[in-house]
Amino acid sequence: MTHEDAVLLLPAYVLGAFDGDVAEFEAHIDRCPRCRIELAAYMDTTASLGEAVEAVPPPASLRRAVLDLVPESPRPSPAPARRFSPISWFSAPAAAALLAALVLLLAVMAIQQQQLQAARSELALSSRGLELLTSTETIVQRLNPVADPASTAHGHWYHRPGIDTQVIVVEFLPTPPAGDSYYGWLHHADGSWQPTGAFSLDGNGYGRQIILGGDGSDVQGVTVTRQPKPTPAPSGETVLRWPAG
Amino acid sequence: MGPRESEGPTDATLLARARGGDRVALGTLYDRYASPAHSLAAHMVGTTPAADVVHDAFVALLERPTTFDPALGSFRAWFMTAIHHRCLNLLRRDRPMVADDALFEVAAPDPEPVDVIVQQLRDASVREAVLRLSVEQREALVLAYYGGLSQSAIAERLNLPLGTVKARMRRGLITLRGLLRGEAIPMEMEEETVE
Repeated sequence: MTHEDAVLLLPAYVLGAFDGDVAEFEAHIDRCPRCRIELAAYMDTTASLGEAVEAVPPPASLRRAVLDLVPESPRPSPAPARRFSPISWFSAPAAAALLAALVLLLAVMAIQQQQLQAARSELALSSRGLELLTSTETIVQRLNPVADPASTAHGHWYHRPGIDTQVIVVEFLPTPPAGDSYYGWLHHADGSWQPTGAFSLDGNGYGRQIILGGDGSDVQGVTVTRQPKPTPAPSGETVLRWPAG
Repeated sequence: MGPRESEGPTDATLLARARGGDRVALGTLYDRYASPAHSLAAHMVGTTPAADVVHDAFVALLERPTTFDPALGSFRAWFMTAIHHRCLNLLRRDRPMVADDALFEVAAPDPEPVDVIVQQLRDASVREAVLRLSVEQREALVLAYYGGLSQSAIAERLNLPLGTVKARMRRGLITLRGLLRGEAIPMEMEEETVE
């Protein structure tokens, strides 16, 4: 298939009307950057056709079904069942060993219980954050980089009046120097600073904090600093800030 | 619809996070696109299969990393195209092979008249743009996109050479793209035929 052939078939392909050799056509698309650009432009147009139909809201159950495609936060597996060896109950050293094993087992179970509780708390927190992030009433403010305006690092602060949950999301933050971390701050109208804690970043410099206990209506600024340890007010270099300036 | 500011995480970022197990990211992506996707699917295949179409599109999105390439345009356009093609596959697969099966619900009856389909469009700007196309171009686009007919089926239905149908689709799509961008309608060119 020549490029000229493919160009003429692109519209039918995007419209879903192409009934020729799809494999041959798609093989050409895969190796032809010009066709891919053209294809993207056509898809943008047909997407508008698709969005123009009468709205039919999806059933509420669909959202849950889609979210369930991603497993919930991993939970610690329960302690494996242990089978005690048939030791002599009358042997003092064996009894001591058994007692030590029991103490160890109880300690492990206590730790796992704490982890399970933490996982549940995290899940509940994530649900509240999700509710906020997906609400049409949510207000979003962008946190811009301070030192280098051209940097891709940025963040967003989400809040909604009447909802006592706020979310700060940061993206593309560079790995901080050894010993430093990124910390979030809310600056209230009365001049006080509320630390929101250190960000835990993934490999893409993405981190998220969900803050409970305030709807953000008295917040006049949001800041992310880089500093070695938590302090009552920002003490390190300001990396991201809203409002700018 | 998502938050008021459109500068939230990009769709590609959300998709990457969703594939990494981030339910919040998946929820945001869902809230941005599930409603128009479901509307289109419901329009094409009916409300009952529409939810399955959207669900399956998200399954493919999460399970097959190669399904969307940000270099190939916007996620929005790609996802709506994926939904549309899934609907077409469903329609073509479900068309009854035996005509005497009276109880079989025909999933894709003959499309409604083109003008009726266009007048039912909710988005006035798209509706007006489609109405500004030539009758021939509008007919080719509407029968293909909303009617689910292949280019060969359209040629047969309109008793036209296949090349003429291809040409009308191409000119129609290019003109529609310009109209949606607010450009003036181009000078009508003599109808071309593509072989």
